Amino acid sequence: MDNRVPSPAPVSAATPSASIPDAVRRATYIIIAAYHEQSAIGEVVRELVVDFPNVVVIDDGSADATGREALVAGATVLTHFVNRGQGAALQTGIDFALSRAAQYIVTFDADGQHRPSDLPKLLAPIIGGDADIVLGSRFIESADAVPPGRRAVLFAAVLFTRLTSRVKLSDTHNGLRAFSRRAAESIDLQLDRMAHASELIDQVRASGLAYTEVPVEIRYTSYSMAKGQRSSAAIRIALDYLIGKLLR
Amino acid sequence: MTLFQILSIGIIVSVIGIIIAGATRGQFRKRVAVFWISVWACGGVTLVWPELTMKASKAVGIGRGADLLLYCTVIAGTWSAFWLYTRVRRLERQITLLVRRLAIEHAREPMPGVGHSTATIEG
Repeated sequence: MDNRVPSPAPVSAATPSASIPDAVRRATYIIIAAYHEQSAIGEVVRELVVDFPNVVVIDDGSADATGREALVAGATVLTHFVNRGQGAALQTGIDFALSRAAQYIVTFDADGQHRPSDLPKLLAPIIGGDADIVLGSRFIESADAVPPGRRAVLFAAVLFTRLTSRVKLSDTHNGLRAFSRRAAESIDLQLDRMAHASELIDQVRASGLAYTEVPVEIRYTSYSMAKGQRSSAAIRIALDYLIGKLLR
Repeated sequence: MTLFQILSIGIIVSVIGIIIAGATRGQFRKRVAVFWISVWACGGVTLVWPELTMKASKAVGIGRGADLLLYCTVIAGTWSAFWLYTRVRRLERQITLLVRRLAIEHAREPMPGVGHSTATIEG
């Protein structure tokens, strides 16, 4: 049985963060896995801390100044002293947030492709009690901004997820997600590298908690495109996921 | 006995000697030492009495002794690769858990006055 609930009615413009109650903002932890992001992470954190005091950056073994830049910008920094991959870093952030008073946990990309102004939309279904897990999707509204090559790979990923996880989502590999505390407690990412995105969807489904998708906008810049996964990595990631699933 | 057999037996005896010495010094567990000595000893036996592999292969319905050895090698190789893979995965998992624990224990909080300090909020 699918535990998906319908997406909320589309909103035309980003909702101001001021619409989120102060108590919710204080109880929200924004988790950012970062690896060699010294040139982008400062700005990403500065944009977020304006409205959300608890921004947690996991410096995943970067050899550059990613950790220092994040700290100076106002984030709490957790350092993986060796690189363990995005999945491992996100789980570290989730564990940390749960060890604090987090009631809402958001995962956010470090390269500046996500917009802080999308966070109210992402949190609204959880605050309203309609869902425990909210996944951002760049394909619910206009997908024109998505480069064609990236769109093809993401579409393949959606089909792959439908086959392997039997979950119908429009955007399975969007790093912008929100979880209630109890949803975050049910997440235990074992796949350390990029295959965690598919594993997470499996766990969302297995948790039996209500989930939904909301439209978000991705800012494609030359920097974020260069930092993003190469399309050729998709097969390796898929294999990683399938082997992980078999050996679990 | 051919020169090849003499040289090979010499190598096998030396390796068995190294294993015994290692086990005596406590480098290997006894069980592990016995396993590897058996493997090398089997190799030695087939070198000295190659006709034994012929008899064994015929007994299990394989025509040639060399084929029996090839099949055994493939099976052992595949099993070793799988065993090593699962072991590496387990080690990777343990490293991740260790790195995670250290990262959380040594969390660095933002400096007061920078952005919104968590210390200020939670305090």
